[in-house]
Amino acid sequence: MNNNEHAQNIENERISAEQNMELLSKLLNSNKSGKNNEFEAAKNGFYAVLEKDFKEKLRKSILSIHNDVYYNIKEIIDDLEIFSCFPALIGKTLVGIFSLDHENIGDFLSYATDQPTVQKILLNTSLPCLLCNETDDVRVTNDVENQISLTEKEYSDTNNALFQYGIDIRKILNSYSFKSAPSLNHIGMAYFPQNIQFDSPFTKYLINKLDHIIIITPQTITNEDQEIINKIKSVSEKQNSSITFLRKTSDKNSWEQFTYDQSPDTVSNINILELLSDFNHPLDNTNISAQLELIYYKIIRFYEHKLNKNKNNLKLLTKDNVFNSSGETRKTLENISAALNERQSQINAEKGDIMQSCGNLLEKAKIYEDQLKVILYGMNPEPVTRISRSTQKCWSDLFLLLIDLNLPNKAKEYFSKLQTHDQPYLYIYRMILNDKTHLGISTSEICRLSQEKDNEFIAQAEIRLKEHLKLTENDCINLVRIISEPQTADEFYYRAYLEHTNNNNVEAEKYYRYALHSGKQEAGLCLYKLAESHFQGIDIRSITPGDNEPEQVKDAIKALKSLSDEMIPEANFALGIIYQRNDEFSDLSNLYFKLAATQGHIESIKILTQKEYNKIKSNVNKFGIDNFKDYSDASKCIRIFEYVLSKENNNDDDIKEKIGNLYHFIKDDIRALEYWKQCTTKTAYYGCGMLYFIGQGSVERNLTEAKKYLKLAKSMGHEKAGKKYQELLEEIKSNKNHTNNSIKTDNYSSRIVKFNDKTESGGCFITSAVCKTLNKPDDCDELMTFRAYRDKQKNNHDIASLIEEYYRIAPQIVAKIDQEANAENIYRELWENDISKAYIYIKKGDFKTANSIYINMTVNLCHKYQIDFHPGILEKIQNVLN
Amino acid sequence: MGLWDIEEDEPDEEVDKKEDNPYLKDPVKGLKLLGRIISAHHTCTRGDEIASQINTILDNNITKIVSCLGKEARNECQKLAKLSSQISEYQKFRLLSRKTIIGLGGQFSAGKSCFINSCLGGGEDSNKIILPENQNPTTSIPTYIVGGSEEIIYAYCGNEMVALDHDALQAMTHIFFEEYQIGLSRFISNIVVHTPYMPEYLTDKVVFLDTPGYNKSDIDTQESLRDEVLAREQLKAVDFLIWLIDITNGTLHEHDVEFLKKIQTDTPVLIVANKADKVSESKQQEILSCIKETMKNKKINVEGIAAYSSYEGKEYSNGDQINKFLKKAVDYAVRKINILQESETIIRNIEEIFKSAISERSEKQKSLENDIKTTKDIHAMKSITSYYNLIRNETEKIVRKEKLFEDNVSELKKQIAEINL
Repeated sequence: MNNNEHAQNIENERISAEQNMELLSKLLNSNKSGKNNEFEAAKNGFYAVLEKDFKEKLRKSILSIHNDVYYNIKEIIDDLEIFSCFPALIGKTLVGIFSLDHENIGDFLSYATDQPTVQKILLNTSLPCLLCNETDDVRVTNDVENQISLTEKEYSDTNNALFQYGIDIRKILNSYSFKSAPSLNHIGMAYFPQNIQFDSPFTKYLINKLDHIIIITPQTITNEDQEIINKIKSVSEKQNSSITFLRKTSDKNSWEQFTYDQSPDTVSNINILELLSDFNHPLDNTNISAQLELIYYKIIRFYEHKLNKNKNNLKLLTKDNVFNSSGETRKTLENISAALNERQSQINAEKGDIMQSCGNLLEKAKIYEDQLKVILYGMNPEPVTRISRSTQKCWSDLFLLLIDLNLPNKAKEYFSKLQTHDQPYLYIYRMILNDKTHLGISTSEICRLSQEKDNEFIAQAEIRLKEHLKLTENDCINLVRIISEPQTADEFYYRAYLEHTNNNNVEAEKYYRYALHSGKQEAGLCLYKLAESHFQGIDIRSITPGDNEPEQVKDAIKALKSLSDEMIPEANFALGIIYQRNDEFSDLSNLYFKLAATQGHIESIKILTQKEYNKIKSNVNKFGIDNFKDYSDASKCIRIFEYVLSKENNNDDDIKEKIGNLYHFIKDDIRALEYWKQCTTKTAYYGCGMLYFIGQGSVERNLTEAKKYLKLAKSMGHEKAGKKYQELLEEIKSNKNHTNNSIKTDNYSSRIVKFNDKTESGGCFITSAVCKTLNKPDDCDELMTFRAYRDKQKNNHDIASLIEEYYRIAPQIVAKIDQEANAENIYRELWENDISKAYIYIKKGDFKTANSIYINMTVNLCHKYQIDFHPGILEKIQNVLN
Repeated sequence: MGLWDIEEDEPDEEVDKKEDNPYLKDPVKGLKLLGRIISAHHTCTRGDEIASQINTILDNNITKIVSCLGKEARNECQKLAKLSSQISEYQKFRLLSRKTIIGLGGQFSAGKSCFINSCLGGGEDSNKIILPENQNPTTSIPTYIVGGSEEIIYAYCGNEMVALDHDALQAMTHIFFEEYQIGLSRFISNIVVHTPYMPEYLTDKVVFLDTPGYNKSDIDTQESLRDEVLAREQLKAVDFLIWLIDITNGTLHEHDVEFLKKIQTDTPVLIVANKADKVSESKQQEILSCIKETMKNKKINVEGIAAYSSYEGKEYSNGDQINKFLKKAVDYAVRKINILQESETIIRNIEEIFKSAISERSEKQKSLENDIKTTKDIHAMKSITSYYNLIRNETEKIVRKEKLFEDNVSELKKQIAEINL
């Protein structure tokens, strides 16, 4: 080579390098000018709300998954990015072609586009290619999504020359695009040559978007191919896209389709054009707002759940309740009420804020979607009824979520959408909708549903309609197997059950808790049973807490405490029992019983009431029945025992006996007798006998009855009964010659009209009767007010004795009124003339006036029914009224 | 002499320089340089892995865990987030640790690079150019300026370090763009410039970080929002911040204020109104007091506000704000403890917050327990127990989170020890 030539070569190299520099400059260009402006504006509008408003609000919110929500939304919107570069893909089915067979790919591509284009495509081995251009030129899209049209020389240099300078074009370019085949006008084809970079962001993105995948393989598949196939398969599973495998037959004359799994199957003589024409139909791929709406309603569900939980707590705290309590308790209740109210308004405010922002976002998404639809309708004058599988799933999920949120009208909107897009299972959506709106479901539809082949949606539907389908628990557990992500309380519950039977206790516990928090109470007991299995044969009733518990016991107690935190009554009860065994912990034991009792755990209520009863009884024993004053405590005890009795089918003699005893303590012997008579215990028989023998209180003497009961008591070994029976026999003997003056007996007790509500236990006899007549419930504001009013004045000595007297006479007054034919009218008049006025004064806090009204009313009634006061009472009335 | 002369004079000089650049003169050399930058491999080192794990723990896990506590804890978390950015930066650029990083922020045309050149290079002595000026949004790259005995320049593409000479730097940040509209900012994460021109008192103590800044358009677009986030990210790890504005544009722009508000509250900020030679002294005063007023109204703490001329290399108005600020930064470097200690302090604070949150609740719980024990009214009992349960659940949740926090912290300590900054 002479000097001249050398210089010439250098000069040539310089010129070519300069040209390549120009080319590189063109390829790197980030100045986006050719983009659709309305499109960009709509997208920017969305981003502005997302980044400047929603993101910040999310970050500050109590939503625990706020990061996921943000990224989900970003994903939705990024999913459309491809349409800003390639608007031609709107409304098209995106089919991906992966080439593992470099020899025959050209043949395949020639079915998809014209021969010159195929030749061009084959020059490139490293970038994905989209066949969607209307013109012949080759376009390249770079890493900042700028589209550049290339001349043939530029295209060839990009594929070859740049590599010589060490420039890897895959780092700066996303894809090429070429002319599409006119016959396949509804397909957007993406071709992936052998050297693409699978982990480049755009390639990943594009593969995720494919509606259908065709993989072209050689006859023998190498390990390398295998790896690629697995990669593609995992994406298709995630994205719900389908895969077809094709290869050239060994004689290279025709194409065959084959399955690529455990049972290989081959179909030969495949007509590629026919195969492709299966996908050649318009597809509505513009539905993004529904995806956002799904997120929107999921956030709503989150807040509703929080609010409901709080509201339930607040509901317990009715004003009356706070008003009625006194001292420390009242202060606590007031504090709680304030705290809960604050919490409620905080959550509400945050919800309002987030939902408004999310609503804005949704609106922007709709504007964006409208822009897409304009293009879609522009290209397809006929309505496009096909939707992608992911859209279908999104609509379906949204429909179910809206049903769960009790928004059937909104759900109907999605039902109509599904209706206009030829969906199978339309009748099932209708069934769910009808079930929610109580419109009834036809038997034929139920039959049809029960014959459907199970898939995730069918399973979701069947569990929701389980009552109509008469599904057993086992059926539901079988169905839940198919559901990938349980959403409703039922689904959580059955899933937990399934995990439980499979001994996946950790999972089971998680799902039981979800179920419990979504309102499935049964899950609580299941959790307890689950915990029991951890105890490994320890009988919790034999555990004694202390310092030297063995590890196992410690674990058992720990498990119980964790359940106690969920307010599972069985766990609280078990802890109550455990701590009861050690006197040191009696307070703690009581606490656990109380926790269980407030959840309606009968055993616990019984134990607590027994304890109250024992206290009352020991007081009676200590000070004598005549000095017993705690009427209100005794009444409460009666009320709760009666409740327990009603829950236990009235079968507990021990409780009945105790109720009788309590009535006896408060000197309501008619009722004491009534309860004792229902028992078959010696103490009850003795009590009956003694009441008849002595003729205590309102029970009149009846020696015959007395004899009957005392004899029974004696025969059962009651220690005092023998002696009393003897006394009785003697008296009967001595009475034989006298006139028998104690025969009227039974008539008396039947004369007393009982008001079987338990209100008298509150001790406002007359007001209770009045309220009953007026159909006011036992916990109505009026009654609660009167009870509180009464309790508040107990400290005044005079009033306390008046109240005691009132307890004695009021039942008699009520009994007299009940005997009157116009009892109801009398009660109404009492309400209108006296009680309602007293009520108003109490509410105003003017107890003095209220006292005078109530006392005057009672005095008048006593006069009317000729009931005498105890000596000294009138004096006290004067004191109080002055 | 007239307008004509100036026009002829200055561009000529520029063209001369540009033509001299070997990467432009020899396009093969130029292309190979571009090839090295573009095709750099993004491999992940063990250090990156640990840094990213630390990031996940600090930014993600702990923030999530601590979200159950109040505002106080959130503040501590912000400090941790800053720490985590510093860890990533330090492990990439070991030379940063134990020095004060002074960030330079502001909009594109505020004159950040000129300020550095003027400040370090000594103003009128224009031979000491450290950073290329007049950059374009697509060429400008966050650049660390570190004192050293000679000029060494590296471009960090992913984790590959590409050594550059001064000409290459000029070509990449300046000349390629002018000649071919080639901008490389999206391929290079950082440039590190070691310069012998750093004044001695700053050399071992201070590192400057010149950031591209951002162009805030009035309409929010996807890109402008992304730029803004990026600009904030770049300044996340700095200890001190100098915010530059172009005084000829008047006072602080609304976007500047917005940006400053979002920067960590405990980062000392100096506002420098650049190009002060272009306006009268009275105008300067007017603008400075206007800035002062705005900062006061927006409750943004600033260390000082200075009027400066990069062209003349001098500070106007009330004297010595910039020097004072730099001295403070030097002092800070002396005090600057290592990351491990710093993280331990913050962690201890969070632990305290946990403890007090738990004890506060358990006290409440105890008092409610008493109420349950004493009350006999079934309705009241129900209300109290359900509230009691609510509090207990909360306590339980916090205790659980505390445990989780401890787990994360012990993992964190392990990682920080391994990365050994």
